[in-house]
Parts: sequence; C-alpha cells; structure tokens
Amino acid sequence: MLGGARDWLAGLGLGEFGATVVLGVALIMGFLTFNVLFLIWLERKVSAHIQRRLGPMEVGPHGSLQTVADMVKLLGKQILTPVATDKFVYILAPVLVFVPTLCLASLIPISGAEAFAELPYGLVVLIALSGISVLAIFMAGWASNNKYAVLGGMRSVSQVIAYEIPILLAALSVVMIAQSMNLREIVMAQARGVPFILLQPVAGVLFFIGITAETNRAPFDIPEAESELVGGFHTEYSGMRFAMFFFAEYTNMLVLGALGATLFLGGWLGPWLPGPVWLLLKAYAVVFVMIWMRWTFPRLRFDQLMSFAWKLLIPVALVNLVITAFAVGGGR
Amino acid sequence: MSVADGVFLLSSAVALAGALLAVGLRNIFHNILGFALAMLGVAGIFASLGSDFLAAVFVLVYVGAVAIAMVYAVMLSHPLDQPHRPRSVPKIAAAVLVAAGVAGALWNVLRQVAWPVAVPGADAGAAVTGRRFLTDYVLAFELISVLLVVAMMGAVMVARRSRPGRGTW
Repeated sequence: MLGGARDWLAGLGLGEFGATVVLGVALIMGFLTFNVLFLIWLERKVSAHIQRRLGPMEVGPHGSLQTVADMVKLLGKQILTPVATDKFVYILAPVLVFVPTLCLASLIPISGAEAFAELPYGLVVLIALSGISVLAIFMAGWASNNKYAVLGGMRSVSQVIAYEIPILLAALSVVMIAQSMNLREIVMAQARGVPFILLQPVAGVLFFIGITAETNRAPFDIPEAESELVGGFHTEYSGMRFAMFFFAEYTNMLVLGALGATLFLGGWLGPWLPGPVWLLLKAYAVVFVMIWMRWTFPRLRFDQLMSFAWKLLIPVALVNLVITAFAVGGGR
Repeated sequence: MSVADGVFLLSSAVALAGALLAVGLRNIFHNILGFALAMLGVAGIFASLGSDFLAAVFVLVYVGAVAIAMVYAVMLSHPLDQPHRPRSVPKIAAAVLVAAGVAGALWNVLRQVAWPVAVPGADAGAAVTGRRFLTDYVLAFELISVLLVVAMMGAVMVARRSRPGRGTW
C-alpha cells in the first residue's frame, strides 16, 4: 500500500526521492498528531484513576474525544503576542522546539527492514538533535521577557545539561556490548542474545531517569513548575503556540520512550505481532511508567535535582561504564 | 551539481550568514543564536564531506555550549531594555587587526597545502577517529584533557573563594 502511494506521488513529478520524503513526513506527522491526542487523554485518565476520579467522560466513549475538542478550542483561540517580547525569537521558539523531535522520530528503526532514515551513527545523531530543543525552550523563556519565563528557561538549561550526561553514559554502555552505534545493529545484537535491560539494569534505570528529566516531566518538571513559576518558559504563550510546546513534550515522550525500547527492550523484536506494533507497545509501556511516576512522586527542589544528577547519577553511570568496559574487554 | 554539492553550498552559506549575524547584531542573545546557526552550518559541511559522526558530535558539543553561553550572556550582559552603548572605535580597530592577522595566517596555510588532502572514500567514522586519538594524536588528546581538568579546577577555586563561610563541601 505504501509502495503504491509512493508511486502515485512520484508520478506527480516529485521523483522517487521527493516522493519518499513527502510520504515519510506525512506519515510521521499524522501519526505524531494522533499520538499527542492519545497521550494527553491517557495522562488525564491515568492521573484520574490514580486519584480515584474518573477523568474526562463526556466527549466520546470514556472521554476519548476530549483532546480533539481541546485541540479545536486551542485552534480557535486568539494568538497573543505581548508587547515587550523579542518578536522574532518569540515566534521562532515554538516552531524550533518541534523540529528536532520530528527528525528524531524518523531515525528510530520501526522493524527489521524499515526506518524512515538510517544512519551509521544513529544514536549519536539522535542524542545530538534532542539537545536542540533545550535551545528552543530557553529562547522561549528569554524572548517572553517575563521573570518566571526566564527562570523556567534557565532551570531547563541546567537540568538538561546535567541529565544528558547520564543518558549518554548509559547509552554508551549499551553501545559497548552491541559494538555499534547504529540503532538497527543494537537491536540485532539483542536478537542474538537477550534484551539489554537484563545485561544492563543499572544503565536502563539511569536512562529512564534521564529521559524523564529531559522531557521535563515530574518529578523533574521544575522548568514549568506551576506552583512556583506560573507556567515556566511558556507562561506568555497562548493558543496554538502554547499547543506547540505541549505537542513537542508529548512527542518527545514517545520518541525517547521508543529509543529506550530500542536500546534496552529489544526494539521491534517480539513473537506473533509485526515489528512496528511491538515497538509501539514497548514505547507506550515506557511512557505509561513516566505518567505513573508523575502522579506518584512530588516535585524535587531545584538543588536536590542538581545534586541528584551530579553527585549520584553521573558517578553511578561512570562506574557502570567502567565495569561494562572490563566485562566486554575481558570477554574477548 | 550533485546533492552533496548542494548541501555543501547551502551549509557554507548558512555558516557564513550565521557568523555575520553573530558579530553584526547589537542584541547579545541574537549574536548567540547567530553563532548556533553558524555551528549548524559547519556541521552541515562536515556531513556533506562524508563525516557524519563528526557532524553529529559537532552539534552535540556546540549546541550544548551555546545553551550555556546564552545563560551567561543573559546574566552578564548590559540590560537590553536600556539604550545600546555606542561601539568604541579603538576596540573595533583592535578587533579588525587581530582578525586580519588570523585571516592572513590561515590564507598562508591554505596556499601552502596541496589540495585535495582528503583521500576520496576514506573512512572518517567513529572507529578511525577513535583509533587516531589513541595512537597518532594521543599527545594532543591528553593535553586537551589536562587543559579541561585545569579549567574545571580553576572554576571550582573561583567559585569557592567568592563564598566565604563555606569552607567545606
């Protein structure tokens, strides 16, 4: 079916390459939009059940169309631009926050034969691109010209810088075992042995904590801590510009969840069901745990957050890396 | 013109435009964004030359650095809601002089090197880069590590001295 659609597009004068790009972007965007609507609904439902409520029930069966209604509301809202903002940066930030996430989504291998884009150093490219969204968050915070927004942006930078290191070190210990930075090769290495979560439980936990912080999720949500900073970096944004930040956050959750599934849970591997289904099941399982954590743990204080990363996570990740290096090197 | 040529030209244009923005604009935050654009352009040049690993590492390192530079810029710079101070002529003259000296030295090197130095199809991937770092260029690699450690210790000392009454960690 996809081949047919591509041929049809190529027939419109786009050429083979252009048709693949257009089809890939359309598929990824379509799926990510659906994913955001689903995840926001899931978040509200899970939080409600954790707090012994029902959550949205009115629009659609069990409120399943609630977020569609919310999206329509946000689309209809007036887009305000406060007078004192740095206009160009203010408008650029919500766009820029979303671009890296879209690139990330195209890099994850979805089955044995397919990824929208495959690179020999896919893992490094993925981690490099995910760092760009913090730039966008700080741009949003600064350009808003609002003290809460600037504080939120500053916190976001220091948090992401700190938590990117354990993510990298945890991913590196997986790379050492798989002997490759190509995401497909990493999954194939797990097909020959066991999922890496069994070989690298410590790295798995570190990676999970890291991606929770990277997506600004509670208990690491200090960049937008409502009770301290109004809305943090997106205080001054309204309508669809605000929705773009939301969109980016939930997309990031899924993409980083899928990356975690690829690195530690065997990616698309699994019996009976097709590869993409397995990958999505595993990614949504990771996302579910992230939602579960958000509604279970209180928010960390800023200094606790920083010392947790620098004084606990990074030393543990380094020790884990050294042990892995000796184990891998000694096994040869 | 092949796709690689197109990517090369586009990346070079982005790098140059970013560099011009980085030095030309009067708002320090915009300067840093220009710098980020220039770095993305340089990463694009690496990618068009076939070293995608280097390109990825370039983005990883420099975008992280840019984010930190932004925080410092906001904390240290002249408040932006006040009128800009006029540029000082002696400073501009000194900057032009230094830039001309560096450009002259680079031009000298460029003329002496026989192009192309890169072997077509050479593997510039992570494995080769890593092996080179630990064999041919091990001295440079270790020197950079020492430099970073010294810089970090210096930062710790400066931070500690400015906080009396906190003698212990």
